[in-house]
Amino acid sequence: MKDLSRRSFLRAAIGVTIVGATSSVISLFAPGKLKAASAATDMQPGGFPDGYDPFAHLFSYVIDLKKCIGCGSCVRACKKENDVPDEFYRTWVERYQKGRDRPVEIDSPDGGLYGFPSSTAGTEGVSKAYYVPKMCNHCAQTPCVQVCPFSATYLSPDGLVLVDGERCMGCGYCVQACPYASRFLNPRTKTADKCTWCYHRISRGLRPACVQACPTGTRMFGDVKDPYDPVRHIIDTERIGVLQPQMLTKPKCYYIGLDKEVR
Amino acid sequence: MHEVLGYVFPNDLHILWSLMIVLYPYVTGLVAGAFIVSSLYHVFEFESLKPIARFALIASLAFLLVATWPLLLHLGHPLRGINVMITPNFTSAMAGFGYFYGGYMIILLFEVWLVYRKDIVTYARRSRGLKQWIYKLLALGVYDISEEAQQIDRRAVKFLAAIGIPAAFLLHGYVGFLFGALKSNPWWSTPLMPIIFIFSAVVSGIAALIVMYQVAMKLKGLVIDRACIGTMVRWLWLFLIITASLEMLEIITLAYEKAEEWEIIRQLLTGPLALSYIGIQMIMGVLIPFILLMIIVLLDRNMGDKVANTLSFTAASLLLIQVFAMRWNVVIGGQMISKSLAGMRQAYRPELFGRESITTAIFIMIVPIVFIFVAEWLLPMFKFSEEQTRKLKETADYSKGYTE
Amino acid sequence: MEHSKHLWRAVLILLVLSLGYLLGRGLLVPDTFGEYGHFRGANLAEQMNVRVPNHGIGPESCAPCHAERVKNIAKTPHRVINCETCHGPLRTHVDYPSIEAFMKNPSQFKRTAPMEIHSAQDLCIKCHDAQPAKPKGFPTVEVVQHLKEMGVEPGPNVCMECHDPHDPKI
Repeated sequence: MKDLSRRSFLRAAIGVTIVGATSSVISLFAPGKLKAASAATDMQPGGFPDGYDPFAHLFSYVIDLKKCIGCGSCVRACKKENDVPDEFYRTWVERYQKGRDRPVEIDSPDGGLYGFPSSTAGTEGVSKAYYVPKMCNHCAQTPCVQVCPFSATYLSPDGLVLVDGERCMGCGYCVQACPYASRFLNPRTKTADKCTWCYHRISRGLRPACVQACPTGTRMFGDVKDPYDPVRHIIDTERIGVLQPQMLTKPKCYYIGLDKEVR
Repeated sequence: MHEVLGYVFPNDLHILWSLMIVLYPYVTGLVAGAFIVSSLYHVFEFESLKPIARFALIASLAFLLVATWPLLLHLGHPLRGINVMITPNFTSAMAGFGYFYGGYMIILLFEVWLVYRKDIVTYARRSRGLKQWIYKLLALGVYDISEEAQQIDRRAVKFLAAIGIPAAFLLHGYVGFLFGALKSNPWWSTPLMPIIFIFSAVVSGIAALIVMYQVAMKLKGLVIDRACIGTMVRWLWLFLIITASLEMLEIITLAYEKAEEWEIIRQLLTGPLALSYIGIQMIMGVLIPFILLMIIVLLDRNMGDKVANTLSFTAASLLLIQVFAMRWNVVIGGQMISKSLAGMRQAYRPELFGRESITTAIFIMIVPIVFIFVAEWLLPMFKFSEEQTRKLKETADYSKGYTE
Repeated sequence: MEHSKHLWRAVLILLVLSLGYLLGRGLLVPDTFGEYGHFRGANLAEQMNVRVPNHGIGPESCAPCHAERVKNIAKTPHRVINCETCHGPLRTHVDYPSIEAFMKNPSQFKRTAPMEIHSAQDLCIKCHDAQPAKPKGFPTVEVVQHLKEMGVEPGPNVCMECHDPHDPKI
């Protein structure tokens, strides 16, 4: 009798071990498959804002370079909205100046946070000049998500590239992998940090702080799943470009009037 | 303020990967390189490497133990590193780290254990006190060292050494891949990168063994085995030629293709990296050791032991610096170029004290040496008696007299 | 086989370690991992609630208290500019626990501090300084030359001596 119970205990223990190990192996390659049954679909308080379904949206951003006046309001608004640490930028503005006999001159003093001073090199012979606001492109095929060793950064259902600040270990691989230098390691949290298109705002139906602060309508934000969205209309009908298209990262940030000098 | 040339993206002003990330590929390179030397004996049966085969294994293990330290010191949240084994994202090259490192660690521990098993059992029977307990634990309670058991061990060692070669290549080539597979950085992005890393790893491994072996022999008052050094020098010369060819091939291809990135890389190599790339990596690290090693290889018979040893020691030391410079130029150099390809950082100096400082780096490099001393205390790898040494000196036949 | 007992012991240790890894791993995977994809699902909601929006939703946020200002500026060319662009974020002026609560009933929240006012001259010239990169048709001015022509001494708030940002007539 004693022997029997011992044997059945052993058998149960081995059974549990095998089941545990097998499910661990399966979930290694297909997480969620096993979780699906137990997944909590109800959101706790502090969950999604009322009426927001991340699967019902796909956000995009359009920047009309013909309108940008380089005032830096977007950079200031971003810093104040998102508490971005000094010397780092979730969004910034560049200035390009070029002439027939002048090589292209690019600058972005403090990311454009304090606007742009008159050019030190003078404006003699400048025939083409423009400002270029930049930020995270929220690429659909993004290298940063590809290289994150355990998906601490990920592509959200509504098309944003986000960083899970509670899981990121701060290796910086995503920062190296981003061709646009949109990411940085936040010196305070020691984790990767970047533009979230103000996820805490857009999930409440507000516009990102930079879009709202822009005095000229250079920056436009919209939802391409909404058939009447002006941003979707621009993307569908206008001649638009993306930064570094050769990288095949498929940015969701589109530029009107992009010049070849801009990387 | 950051010294900058040209236009640098505002977030590109900071060198993110510090001295620690330079050290990491350097240390794993030593791991892989030392292992290859021991495999040359265990698998490819280069008998002249017998005196150093065990030492090479222990050295490989010693460096492997500290290989993760620079990484952990660099991480903002080191404890979260475990996630790489919990929810790995297999599209990331970095996700393989835990598995490559762990797998290689198992192979290496297994091999070291089997190579030393006869000694462990012998000591377990002979010694007393604490040491005996350690040996008993290491023997796993099996004291069978019959000829049949040893036969099995030898075959297992050969098998492990054989699968260890691709494992070591994987462990280190993967480090090269981490850099080589980033399209965002033109100075890193080349399929040559893993290959360059592997071959320069072998260079650094052999060079480190030449240096450490000679020092160890001096410390123990033993005779340096000329045949062993000779074989290592020949391999070193070969691998140096391959490494240098690949490194130059990379530059020549970039320069010849004149693609958009060449403009900034040219400025980088002749500007901020001029000393560490042209001066240290190429002239001091390739040209001079190449000539020294060639002299030893070609004039082997006409050269006294002392001259040959001094020359090989010098060449090997220079090559250790060369490989470090190469890692530096890759890791730091790559980060000096802004992704705007229109500008670069002018200089980067690691701090002297602190978490990711020069002092920490030196400490990390000392730990394996200490480990080797402990290993020598527990499981001697050089086993000449004084009498043997004297005899060997007389007969000048160094390849005999070694015990298994 | 009888002489390979030590090998089997080592293999057993390895097996135990691997099993330990797999079981331990199962325990350490975050609860909501894989809920919406290969990431910790709970982070989506965390990101949405990472902070209370500092900026409001536009002039509508200001209108409940400053109806006159908002109405007047709507008649000027500066109507396209959000109040917060020049003044700074709303939440430095009125503290609210959530933007939803503020929008439901703005007047219940008290003013905590005076609104920032960027009335220095460099606020005006951030937009209106004459630079080659400004878009065609955008009103700009050569500041130094302009001040000289107008016979005004350069200094802080010098623009405001003639211009009112809330009603920018020339």
